[in-house]
Amino acid sequence: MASSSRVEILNEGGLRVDGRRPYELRSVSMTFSPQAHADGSATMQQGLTTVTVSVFGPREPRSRANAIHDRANLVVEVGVAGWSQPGVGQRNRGDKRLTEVGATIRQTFEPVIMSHLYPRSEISIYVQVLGSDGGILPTAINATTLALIDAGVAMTDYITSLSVGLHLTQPLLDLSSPEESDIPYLVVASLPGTGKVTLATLETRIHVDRFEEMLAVGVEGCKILKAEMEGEVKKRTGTMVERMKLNALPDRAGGMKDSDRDILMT
Amino acid sequence: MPRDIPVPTINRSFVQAALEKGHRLDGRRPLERRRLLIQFPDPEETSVSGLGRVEVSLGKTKVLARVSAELTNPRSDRPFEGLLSITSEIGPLAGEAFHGEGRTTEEEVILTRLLEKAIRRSEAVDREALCVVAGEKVWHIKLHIHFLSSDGNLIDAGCLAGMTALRHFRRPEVERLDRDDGMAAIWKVYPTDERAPVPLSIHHTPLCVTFAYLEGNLLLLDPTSQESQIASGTLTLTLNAQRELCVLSKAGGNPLGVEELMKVVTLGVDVVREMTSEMESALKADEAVRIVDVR
Amino acid sequence: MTTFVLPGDVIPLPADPVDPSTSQSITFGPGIGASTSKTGSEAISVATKMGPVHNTAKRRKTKDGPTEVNRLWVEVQSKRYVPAPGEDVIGIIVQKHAEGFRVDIGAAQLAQLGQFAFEGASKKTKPRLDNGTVVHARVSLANRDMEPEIECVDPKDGKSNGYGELKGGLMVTCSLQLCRRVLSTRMMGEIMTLWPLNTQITVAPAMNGRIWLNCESGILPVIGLKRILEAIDAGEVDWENMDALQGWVKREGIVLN
Repeated sequence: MASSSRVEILNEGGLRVDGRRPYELRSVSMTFSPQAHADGSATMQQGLTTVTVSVFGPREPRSRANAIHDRANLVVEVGVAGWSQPGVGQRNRGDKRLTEVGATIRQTFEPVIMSHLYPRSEISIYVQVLGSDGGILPTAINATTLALIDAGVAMTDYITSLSVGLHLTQPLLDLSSPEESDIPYLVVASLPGTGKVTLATLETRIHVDRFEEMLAVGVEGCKILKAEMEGEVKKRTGTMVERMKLNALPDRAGGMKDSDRDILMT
Repeated sequence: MPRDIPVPTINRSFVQAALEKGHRLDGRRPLERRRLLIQFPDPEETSVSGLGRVEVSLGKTKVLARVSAELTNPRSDRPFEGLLSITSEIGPLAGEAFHGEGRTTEEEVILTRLLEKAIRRSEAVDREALCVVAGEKVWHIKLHIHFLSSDGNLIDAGCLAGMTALRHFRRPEVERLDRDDGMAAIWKVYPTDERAPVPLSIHHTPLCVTFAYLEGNLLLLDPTSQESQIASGTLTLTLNAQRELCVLSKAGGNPLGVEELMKVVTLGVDVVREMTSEMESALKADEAVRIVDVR
Repeated sequence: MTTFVLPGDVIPLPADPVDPSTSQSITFGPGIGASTSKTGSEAISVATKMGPVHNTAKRRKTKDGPTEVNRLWVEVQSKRYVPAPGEDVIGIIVQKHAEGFRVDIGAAQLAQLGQFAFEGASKKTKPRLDNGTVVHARVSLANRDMEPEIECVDPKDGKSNGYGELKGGLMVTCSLQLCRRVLSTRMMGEIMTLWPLNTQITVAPAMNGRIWLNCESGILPVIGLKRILEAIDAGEVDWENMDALQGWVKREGIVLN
């Protein structure tokens, strides 16, 4: 932390350490189903931060005691690869900080996952941080959203998440690691459909008057991110529909009704 | 492991219905705190030795905080800074939910982390002022927070107890005595009856405020154990009297709009202001009767 | 006059009957045990728990002539319930299984509530109770080697007689002693005089430290009564002094209606 304190957060040209403008997000890339054995998985990359999330479930709870009679039990476990962060060794599973991140992710998703549809079952979410350059929590949340969509778990809305920093009076979106260690920041996760906030965590001192603006900017940023993610999800759904068409056509080539065709064409 | 007994369904709906009309089971209004009681050890019996010890009760929730200091070597990467460590303990004593066996529960971890963030990461204590001689000797301030009894909202009570104890505490005077014979210097810690102990230098006083929210965005300040079991989520703010937000942690529960969240923050500012003034008057009252100076 | 005893104290036995033709019987209840630790060899009855000693001395006519029947017990202050057959309890359903339900009655073990232990229950009409439901029941079986069993039906006539699911209202927990006082003294009647006559509050006390309160006309009477009961339980007020109780209610700002 102390080593990076000479970084110029915003230069005279209004550009950040990595050449972005204050509200500019890092490039994102997403991969669906990287893990063949999981019920759903996704990898999300925001800048140099890479997180893979695997979802198992709804499945039989590993221990009977964890079953909840009227809804699914959500289990989140977080691991950080040893090479992902310079200077930080392998973090164990019992690490307090990881337990906290896991609990945060679980609590964030609990209100949107329609867990009452899966009573007495367990939905396990395994988060693995493969590369870390700031914003582990937001990227993990975004990846979890994608993995849950991939697994076909019923949700009422997307959740997208971003970090928002503050340099003097200027909010900055989507912080990288050197920025994160230097300026106060907050992590927002919101339902982009309604702009409501499901998660907000802040660990550094900020004046209350500045907070509102940061929150608003964060929620706006989440909407942009959602558009980005939705594009990717649609693309994937498109290819899946395409495949279904190819599979369906030879079978039904002869007696396909018009109504069937309509469904396929949309 | 003792089984968690569910809150009866009828109690759940009763609490909810009562709240919709603005009533709570203990007669409070939704945005009312429980009675805060700050107790220091008897000033006549303990005088100096009672410094830095405080018992805080918030309704039936009870916390004991104790500060101690020790001379140590500074960390090599931070030779100008003293150390502050916070340990919190919720034993089986605090309530049936804390059985104290095996792995610490997630709730305990989150509680410890929140206290850590609220008091340590928010730089409440001036750590540079704990330096005696740079690179050689610094003070290590240890804050122990013991949860004696739990009836919800441990975090607010714990943070208040911790901050009160830190402000109440005084560390002894210390001096370096060089020796002529080339032997290592002696660190002379003066007994408190020889030189009066000095208070810690505190940057600001962050305090936690916890809200619980129930179905239908009903907001509750200072939830009891039963209320937090029913709640769909809780939100903890750490604020100081200068209107600075140090920690905010909202996870789970109903999603809130930006305005709703801001409303909570604004409410929190007032609550913290009240709590700070209660704490300060308790400290002042104790200072008036506790004899610390050397006569 | 009641005697207050501590564990190990010798229980004061009632004096022999004045009339020598009258025989005497003494039955020991909870909180009294036999111990040889004081005398060395001869076992005497000592208190095993703290509390006042109670005695209901009654004269009865038996086939051996007039008898003075004494029942002695220590009014034990305790919060944990130990099930005894025939006692009324209020339980929370914790688990459902094929044969019925497992119910938390505040005792060391969960109690079994069979699915046929309801009025009119048969293989076709099984009671449907979700987890978290509160039931009023009576203990049908309690011994040290088995899980206690409870039933929601009166064995005398096979009717529910008030047992069964408690709908609405609020379940309050208190000490066992308060429950006994609610059941055996005029306390409830006295407290109820705080409310106008037309306010109907249903109170279902049970022996296991739980009381169910319900009021159709609003929630405030229930909250008020709950706070009064809790204060009495904590020893903050006394119901026998109604003026003091009224003053306390006013001071605490308890809204009764």
